[in-house]
Amino acid sequence: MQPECVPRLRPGVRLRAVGADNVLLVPEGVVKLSATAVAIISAIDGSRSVAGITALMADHFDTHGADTAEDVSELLDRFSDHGWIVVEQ
Amino acid sequence: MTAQAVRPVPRPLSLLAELTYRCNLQCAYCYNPLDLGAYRDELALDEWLRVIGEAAQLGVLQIHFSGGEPTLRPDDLVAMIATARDNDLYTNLITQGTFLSDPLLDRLAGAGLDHVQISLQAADSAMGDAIAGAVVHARKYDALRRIVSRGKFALTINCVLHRANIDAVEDMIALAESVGAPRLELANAQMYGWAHLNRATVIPTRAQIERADAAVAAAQVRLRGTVDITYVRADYYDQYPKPCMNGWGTQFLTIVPNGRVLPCPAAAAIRSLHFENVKDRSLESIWFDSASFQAYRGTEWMSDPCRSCPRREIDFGGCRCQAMLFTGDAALTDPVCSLSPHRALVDAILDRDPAPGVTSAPRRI
Ligand code: SF4
Ligand code: SF4
Repeated sequence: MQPECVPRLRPGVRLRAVGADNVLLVPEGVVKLSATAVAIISAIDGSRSVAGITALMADHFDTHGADTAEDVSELLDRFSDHGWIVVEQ
Repeated sequence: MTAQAVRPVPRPLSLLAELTYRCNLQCAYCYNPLDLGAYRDELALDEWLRVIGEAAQLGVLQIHFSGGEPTLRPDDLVAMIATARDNDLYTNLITQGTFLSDPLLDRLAGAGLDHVQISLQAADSAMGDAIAGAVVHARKYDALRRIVSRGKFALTINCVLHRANIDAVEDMIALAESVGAPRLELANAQMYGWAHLNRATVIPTRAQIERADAAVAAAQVRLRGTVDITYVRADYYDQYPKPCMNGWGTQFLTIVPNGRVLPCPAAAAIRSLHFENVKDRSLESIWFDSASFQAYRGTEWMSDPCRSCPRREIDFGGCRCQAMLFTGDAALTDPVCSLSPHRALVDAILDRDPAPGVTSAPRRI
């Protein structure tokens, strides 16, 4: 996924807290997510670009550089394969 | 006390809320109970709203609004969706779509509906109308197109497969593709309620099922990333039964239109159990303490062959309602299982043509 792409959640896809955890509610059911996935999904607001999300994640997890960008892009691709997000070019 | 008995009871994940059993269609494969008239005393809106709050407290994450046809109570449905969303529940509407006017779609969106599952009886309107027992296909298809073009909800097309439409399964797949639906669920009819009554005309032949299996598998590959196809096989041609409801009283609750609470949507067939009513008891006490929810929880209730079977934690002995309908005893091994001494009762209804003159009884109140 290119840095300038802007992902947004599809209708019918929502994050919610269950106790101390977060789960993703989707048409197919309830998906448990890793802490990284939760942070990325929370950062998707329909206006923030992939680059913006990456910067936020680097801040959040105190990491930096190419690794973060790669991780974020990979996870976003996976969300997109699942049909949870769409991407405006 | 055994280790089994002290295992903590899980909390439910999902609530099926059946608002009414009224419906303007007459599908022969409908799984609703035969005595539809016994459910006329429908739970009032204020009771439903209280119960939705109780369900959320209990840990439920998703609520499915169904029936009958839930949009026959449009105002109540909209209010229930709004309350479910206030309680942070995922909301799913299961509808046959004949009443989805634009104003109603606006209100459903306003209430925060997440997901619509709209059923079609067939891709072709003549076949669809014949199966529904009413001239409705064009209206349903129109509603489907309007939902797609709005893009407000997650959408799944649902088609129940049975003897009369399963050979046209590829047409249904083509329809989903052409209309731009992201998801298609193809579910073989399950033999409960009206479907059980009509089993001679509803159950496909083995050859029909095998053709559909192959056609769907090919389409799943071809349409990956375009239409996500879920295929629910019927288990009656299989060696082992399905893990019904993922185990009795472990994840699912159904509230039928008159307020009774069932561990499985078809459980009303089990006459030996008394199902408690949300008018009398809290959902929490029904889930944890009622005799009906405890009846087949875990594996303690099993007799052989399930009791000593290594698959008992995999399929939980199959479906209690199927055992009931075929053998008259809900506590027996699901007769679909090849290890069941009653498997012959299932085989007796498979792979044969209906006797001359036998037709489906249309679902009616
Ligand atoms: S299966 Fe058919 S008859 Fe039964 S509730 Fe659904 S649309 Fe109505
Ligand atoms: S005997 Fe019971 S537990 Fe074993 S496979 Fe058959 S239904 Fe499942």
